[in-house]
Amino acid sequence: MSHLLEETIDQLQTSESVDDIPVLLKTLRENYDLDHIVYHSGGPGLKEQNLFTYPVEWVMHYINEGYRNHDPVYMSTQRSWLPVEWSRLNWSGKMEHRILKEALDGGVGLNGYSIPMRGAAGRFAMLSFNVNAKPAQWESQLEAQKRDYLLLSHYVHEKVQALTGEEEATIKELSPRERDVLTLLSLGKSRAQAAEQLKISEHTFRVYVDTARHKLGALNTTHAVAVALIQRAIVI
Amino acid sequence: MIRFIYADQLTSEPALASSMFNDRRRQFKERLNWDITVGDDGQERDEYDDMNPLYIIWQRPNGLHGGSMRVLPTVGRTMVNEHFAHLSDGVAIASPLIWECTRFCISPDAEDGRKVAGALMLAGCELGLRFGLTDSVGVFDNRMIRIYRNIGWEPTVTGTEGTGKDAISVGLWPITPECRASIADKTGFEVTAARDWFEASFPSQMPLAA
Repeated sequence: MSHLLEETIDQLQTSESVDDIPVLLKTLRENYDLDHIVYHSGGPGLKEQNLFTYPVEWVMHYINEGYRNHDPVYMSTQRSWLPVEWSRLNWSGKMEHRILKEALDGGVGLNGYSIPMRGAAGRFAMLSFNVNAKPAQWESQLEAQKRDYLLLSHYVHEKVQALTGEEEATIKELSPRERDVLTLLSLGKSRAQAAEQLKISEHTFRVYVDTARHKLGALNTTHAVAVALIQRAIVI
Repeated sequence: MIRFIYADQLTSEPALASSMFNDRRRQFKERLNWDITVGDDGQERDEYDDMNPLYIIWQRPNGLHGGSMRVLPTVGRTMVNEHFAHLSDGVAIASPLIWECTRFCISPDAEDGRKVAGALMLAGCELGLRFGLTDSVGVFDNRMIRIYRNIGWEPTVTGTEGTGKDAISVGLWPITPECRASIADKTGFEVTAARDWFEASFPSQMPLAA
């Protein structure tokens, strides 16, 4: 878990409305040396959320020109589920080239990484990370930060859904084994001790901590234990 | 060579696609006798093939399928979580940092099955490293364990059902540069081979410079 990611948790935790999220995105882009972060969520018949750090002029232009359905980033994340590197998309069409050029003129960086996410009722969401940098510089930045991007995307998405009251109705309950894992950690056992007690490998133990963390919306183990205690998912 | 290809791109590769689904019938239905459905066309597909998975496919020199596996994110629906959760202590393995790899299949027609198996595993590890994953989860016939060991990338088994040749397990593969090096070492591929396959499937084509 990176230090930056941990710093982000607190701020995300204290967000009380969707209006707080753009401020959070601004902090995030500074922490991660990015130019922009953009969140989009929508789907057939669903309310859209567009939260971004882009200059508002560019966003208005993009909307007014109806660029979305020609935008290789939007179109490719609609159909794929792997994170998308903008440099690997096909910008050769006339319209695509125009969108790219105007985006750069409008303050968007050349390098982007977009993470698609899907939810119930056909909801689609994505988080884009964007920076203007030399290719080699971007390559090493992406290498260092890509894991955080994946975690951040899901975390921001779940937070926005919770704040808009559109979080998927199913509460993600911990399985008994995940409760065992967090309980032993809350009692101060080391991972090795706890895994041995549960008669599972340390590798399996780590993965169960990670799945519990994901269910609880926690970005580290200490936080996961705390959330589980608050929700009374575990009792010590 | 290895190709990374989404399900919705397979329509433009009908020969490759049909040879893959035929080979899956031959392996999973005819050889391993798994409880799975085969269509009237002789092809083995299931509901997860409809979720636009990414396939990692070894394409033979004649253009047909030599081996493959199917990759899906575990934050969506997966075979392991919907059908085999009892083999992972009842824990649904769902995390943005874990993907599911299933239907690991080698064609009986492949020129060198061992090489194909190694290439697929190297490509899977590369994919995970490239996107910052921690683990891959999969369900497999226990006879595969020996093959995984020979390839240099063994899973941690979380649970097994059945005995002897009918045993099926769920396992976790850690995704680390060391695992990639181990696979390359055991299979004779350059450690950079999978990077080249990925670049060929998803080429850089940015027309402007920063």
